[in-house]
Amino acid sequence: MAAVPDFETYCRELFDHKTAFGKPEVLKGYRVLSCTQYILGPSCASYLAELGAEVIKIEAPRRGEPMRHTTPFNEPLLYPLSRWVPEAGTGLGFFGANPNEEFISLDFHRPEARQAMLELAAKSDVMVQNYRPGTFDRWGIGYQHFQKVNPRIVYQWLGGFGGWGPGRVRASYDILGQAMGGAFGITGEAADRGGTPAKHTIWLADYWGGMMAAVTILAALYWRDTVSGEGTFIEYSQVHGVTRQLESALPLYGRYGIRRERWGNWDTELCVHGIIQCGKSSYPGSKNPQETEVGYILVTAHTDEDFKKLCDVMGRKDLATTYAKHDDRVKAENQGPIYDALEAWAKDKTKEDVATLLDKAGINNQPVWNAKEVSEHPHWKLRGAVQWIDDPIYGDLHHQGPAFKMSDTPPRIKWALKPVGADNEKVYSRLLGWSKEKIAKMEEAEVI
Amino acid sequence: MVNQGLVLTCAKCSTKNFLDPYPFWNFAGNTKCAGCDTLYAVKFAKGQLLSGPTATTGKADLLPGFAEDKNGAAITGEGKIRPAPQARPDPFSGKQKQITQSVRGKPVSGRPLKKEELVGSRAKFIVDLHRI
Repeated sequence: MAAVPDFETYCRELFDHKTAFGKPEVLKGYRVLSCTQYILGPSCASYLAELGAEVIKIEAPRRGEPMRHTTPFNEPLLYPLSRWVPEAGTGLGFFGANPNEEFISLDFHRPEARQAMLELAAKSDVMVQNYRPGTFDRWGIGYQHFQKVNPRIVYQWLGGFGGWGPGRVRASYDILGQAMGGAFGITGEAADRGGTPAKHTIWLADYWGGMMAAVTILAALYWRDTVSGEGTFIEYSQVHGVTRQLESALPLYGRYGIRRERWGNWDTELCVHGIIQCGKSSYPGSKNPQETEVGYILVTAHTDEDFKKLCDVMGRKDLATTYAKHDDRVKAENQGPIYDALEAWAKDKTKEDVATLLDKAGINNQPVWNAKEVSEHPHWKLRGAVQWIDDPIYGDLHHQGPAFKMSDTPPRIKWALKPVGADNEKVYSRLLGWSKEKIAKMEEAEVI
Repeated sequence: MVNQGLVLTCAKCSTKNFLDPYPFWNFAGNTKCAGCDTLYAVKFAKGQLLSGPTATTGKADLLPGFAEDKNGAAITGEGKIRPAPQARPDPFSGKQKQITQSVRGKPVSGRPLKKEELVGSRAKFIVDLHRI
């Protein structure tokens, strides 16, 4: 067998994110129209943009899509919102779901806009939109209309409940999807610890929905380009997407009639395998109230051997005897006393203190990190998971990098976002042949 | 009065007052037209307008986040719209501060701009950073 570099060296050199810009982009040449808002639709288009597709985001003139205005604390931080509204800004909530895209504006309601949309569709490979069911058909820019000008177009519609059925005509959001799809039924505190469902702070259902839709688009492009030559209409239901991830909850109900319950930060199948509170802050001298909070750490010691080691570290050999077998530890009535003992032991420690002790004993653990701790960790910096980008419009920005690596055609972040309509001249003149005068006239009439 | 929910179009001067979804989502009280200072009582629940806008007297509880006159020109300034804010007040001074640098000390476009400060859709001071 020929000698090859060790795996760590091989991966480091192959996937070095700093070399990404010297390599080709895997989806270069595909053009995607993105009439999307909030996170579900935009994230779908942005995954394609990270892979090199030319994604043209189309927003309402002047103010753009709503996510620019729904952000942490609703405080606009990136200026200008658009060249017409420079005194307002885009909120940071817009981050992460719109990188690498070109931004144009268009008022879909106007007849001139419909014509422009059809002309853009004729020159594009993919359309992504996440308005309420039937809205774009009502405006004459649905799949059935696009198909007439471009039979090869792949048209992805993402909605809450699907395009047909009695429950379809409602607005949906990530949180609604998680509530209706069943996620909140199993996420949150156990009944004897409050029993409340817990909303995930990041919009997981939107981001994973966007990813599933992106995968489906690639499948449809494969079908078009290698088999049929024809486009596809794709429907993605946000609520169904949540239900799709419920793993054992549905078969458990189907077999026994049992409803899987919430079990907080512990695990119903493994013990110890959960998050405990550590009584001391990691930043004891800090004046920042965010840093005076106590810490948390994930501890996983569910095998008999690891649990015994954990009990030794805690100085509680009695627990190792009482709960020697996993079948005993995992019982609901026994998990409480075990985790209570762990938290009592960690009460005078920071999460780092606990991690050090557990590392020394060979017990798997991970302190619960905040954004600062994630941003500053050398492992994630080295791998490009967190990046500083010199954004050509907004300056120095801290950004999350693509989560996957590709050896020859790596994904990359070129810019974070752009103001509303920033690429109007480029796109309308290059793709539709509009003159400078026509663009000015359309701008004045607020069609674009 | 044109009832547009979170866009309050003034009956007197046709100014479009944009009532930002987050602060106005469940708001009940008085807001003020940025164009002519007419005071309006409004009540929203979950972003839906339950009552108003009704002309009233007194003081404004919350100003619009943004406003445009009938020609589409932005209306700005103290007492007209809420000042362009930042994420939160500085924890030490208690005052809101405008961001000009990232946490590692490099320039960012984090303050309200004027049209004359733009080159296309970019702030001139950012364009200058990238000048070859």
